[in-house]
Amino acid sequence: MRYLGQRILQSLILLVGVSVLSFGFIELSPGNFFDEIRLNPRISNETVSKLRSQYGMDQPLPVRYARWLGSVAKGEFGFSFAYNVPVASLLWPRARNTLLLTGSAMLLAWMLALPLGILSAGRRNGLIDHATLLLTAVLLTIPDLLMALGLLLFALRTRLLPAGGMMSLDAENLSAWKQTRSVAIHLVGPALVLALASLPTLIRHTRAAMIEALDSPFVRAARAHGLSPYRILFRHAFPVALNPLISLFGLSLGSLLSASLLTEVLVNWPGLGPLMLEAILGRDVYVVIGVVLFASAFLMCGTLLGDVLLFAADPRIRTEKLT
Amino acid sequence: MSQPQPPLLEVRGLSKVRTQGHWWQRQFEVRALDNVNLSLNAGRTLAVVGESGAGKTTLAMCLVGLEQPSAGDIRFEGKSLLQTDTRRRSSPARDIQLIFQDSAGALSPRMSAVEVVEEPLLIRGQGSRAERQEIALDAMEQVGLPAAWKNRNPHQLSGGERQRLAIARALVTRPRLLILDEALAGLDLSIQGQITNLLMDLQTAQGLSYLYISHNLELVSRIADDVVFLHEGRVIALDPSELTSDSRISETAGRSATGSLRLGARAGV
Amino acid sequence: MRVAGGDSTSTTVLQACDQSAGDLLRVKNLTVRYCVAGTEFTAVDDVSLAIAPGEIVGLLGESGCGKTTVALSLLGVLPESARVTAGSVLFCRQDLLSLKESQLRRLRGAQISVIYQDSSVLNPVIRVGDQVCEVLRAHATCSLGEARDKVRSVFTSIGLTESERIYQAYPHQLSGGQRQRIAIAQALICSPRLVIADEPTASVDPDTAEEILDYMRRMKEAYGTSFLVISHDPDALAAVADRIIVMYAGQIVEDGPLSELYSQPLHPYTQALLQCSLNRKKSQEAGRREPLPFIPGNSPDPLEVIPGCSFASRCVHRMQICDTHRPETFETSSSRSVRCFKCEAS
Repeated sequence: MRYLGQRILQSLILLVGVSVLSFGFIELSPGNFFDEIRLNPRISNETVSKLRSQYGMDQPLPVRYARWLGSVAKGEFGFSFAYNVPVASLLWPRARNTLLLTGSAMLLAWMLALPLGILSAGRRNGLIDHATLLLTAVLLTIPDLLMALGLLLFALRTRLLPAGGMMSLDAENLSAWKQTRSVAIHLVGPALVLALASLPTLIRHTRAAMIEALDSPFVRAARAHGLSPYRILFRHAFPVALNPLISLFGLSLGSLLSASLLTEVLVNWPGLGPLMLEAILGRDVYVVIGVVLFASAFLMCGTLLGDVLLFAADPRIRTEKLT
Repeated sequence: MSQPQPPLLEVRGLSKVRTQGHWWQRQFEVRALDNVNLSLNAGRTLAVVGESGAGKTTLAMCLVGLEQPSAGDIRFEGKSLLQTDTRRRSSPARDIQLIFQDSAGALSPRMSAVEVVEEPLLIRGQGSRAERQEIALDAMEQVGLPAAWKNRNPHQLSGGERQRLAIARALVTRPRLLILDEALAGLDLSIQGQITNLLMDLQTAQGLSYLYISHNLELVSRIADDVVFLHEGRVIALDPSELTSDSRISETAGRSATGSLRLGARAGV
Repeated sequence: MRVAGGDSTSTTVLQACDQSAGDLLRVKNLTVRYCVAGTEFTAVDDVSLAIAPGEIVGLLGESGCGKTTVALSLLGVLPESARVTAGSVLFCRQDLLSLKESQLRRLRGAQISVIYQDSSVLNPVIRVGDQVCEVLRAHATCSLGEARDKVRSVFTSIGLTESERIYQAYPHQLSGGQRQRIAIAQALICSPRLVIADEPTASVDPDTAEEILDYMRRMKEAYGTSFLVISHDPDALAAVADRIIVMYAGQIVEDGPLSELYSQPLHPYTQALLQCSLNRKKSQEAGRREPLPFIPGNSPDPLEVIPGCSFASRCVHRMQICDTHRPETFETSSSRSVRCFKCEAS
């Protein structure tokens, strides 16, 4: 319990640090939101200056930071220049969509990686093993960009999958069930692309962890006791191999967010990716900081979740050595 | 008349208490060591005997500083080892070395034999590279490992050879006290004999002192000057000659002491 | 509780066992070679031995002499790099070397089981009670409740008091001695006919060692279980074995009943080895601080092919013929045999 409290406290401090850094970096980058407006000859400089002071952008950096903190306390997380609404109201729906996408991708990836990794370790140098290793090699060499584009091409040519977006165009008029179905179909493509992109790492780690578990003395002993090979594989070797995999899970959860950015932009999935891209290009500073913070928080949750799972899964960590 | 030498190692009232259970559960106290007193004079061998779980390894760990006792004092050459100043602790750490039962686990598989032996010198920053090599090879010769093996990996060596390597590593820093925690258990009888003879020779040549932890009573009765018997963390002292006398042992030490003696007696040899 | 056979092979084996009056296990001219990093060497060289039902045989020899390889080949769990190049292993007159993996699996744990030396033979993330239980349920048809009861009763008989707490415990929560006993429980739970114990007393204290050997004797007396006890320690074997087989450099050098062999060893290696034991009366008479006995020289490198007797370089009775010719096994009496030119001559 105390450990959990410590971790949460550490994460909060880290988040504060991240926010300070983000503020600093954005300040260093050239240009700001109002430069574009200034280019328009019909808007006078005074109007621009008034806008600037209205948004508080003429204040020095520490003051701006303090005001932003106040906004965070109110739950608004700053203000978006482009959309004219508090950042929080922009973030949450987008974050939900991204989570939906990455969550499904994660699930799909692990559901494929675990059996493939386990079986290829079980029969090393067998048919499944060679096929799996070939698959990972191929997937590693294809860039995400290419895979996403390939998906779009496939969708356009065959019309089996929708070519982007999260819902069909007349979505608002459909019933709740039809809406869900529509989202699901739109989800298949990008989730598959993301899953395939992360598959090679997961498979290799699973396979390596399983091989190590299968070489241990207790597996040798289990064979000597006449247990069936499947029981040895799933009941004895896999729980032990789970240890490094859980840590991997925690880490991959966080990294999936950044991986999805590219895919979301390409298939026009209304998640954090397109929002972030837009905000960076348009110097919508508070949105950028909001998204960065969200991503950091997500990563920390991922690792924390990994540690908690490890605690639950491994009795050696959970219980004390008695003698 | 010269002053009598103070004991090399003196342990007074050493206790180690461990608690079992998290703070939200009911907690039990386990006394690993309970008011242990012992003393060892320079150039002699003190054996610590007892059944498994009696606290022998805990004692060894406290003596080398790998564990902190809950109470009591450990004095080496008259100075207490338990001072918290780590800089001052490094000196006795060099003088006391520990050899485990399973050196396969204690020796890094990525280092060659000579690298393993010279590592303590490297850590202390002693001497140039050439000097370190020389000292290391010298130590290897002392324990009977040919210098030609210097590039062999510890895993290529047999169990007995690995133990000799561990002893060589322990010797390079010129220690005063060697603690052997079941260092000969599980080795072939002939190897046990050879390594024991080596240790005896080293003791005569270099004036080493040994704290020999074992549950092998026959071996202990042959090499120990004094014996201390640990039972559930407490000390029951014995004279080595009494080890072979059945009646005295069964009174004070219980079944475990007679166990291995009875194994041999059964064969009538 | 006799284990019900799963398929026709093990039933056949069972029937053969019940009917056969001869040996339980008969190994003939077994040779096992290892191929490691391109080089081949012989680990087990022309080994022949027999174990009768209800007999405890001690396999005595130093580390690296091939005793563990013999044990592994009986079970068919040799590592990939090992090959049986000659010989047969007859268990109840069935050649184990010719059986398929699935058939062997039914025998392992149920008819022949092994107690490993390694103390980490227990899976660290599964409760120990469940680990013993699954061995039973892999070979016998019984309900979970019955299996659990059987496991707990075995725990009690093996000296693990607090059987309930230990059933629920994980391996790291138990002491080394307790873990060794659990490993024994796993091997004995299906009441096999032959149990191979690989260095059971090597890393335990004398108390636990005595209890383990005692348990073996009781199993033998109660169920007629045979044991093949592998050890480098003559004293441990003295407490439990009926017969001793001495191995050196992959070969059997002497074979005979315990008391005869110990009181009058014939082979020079056996003689030298027994001298090293500190339990011998002669050793005990030696004063304290006198050098301990040992066998001078080193055991032969397995990669080296020696034309004559493999012990010749360390033997005090070495003759010229020992360097050029390999001695064959020679029976000195109906129950003893030895592989030595000097013994043949006398």
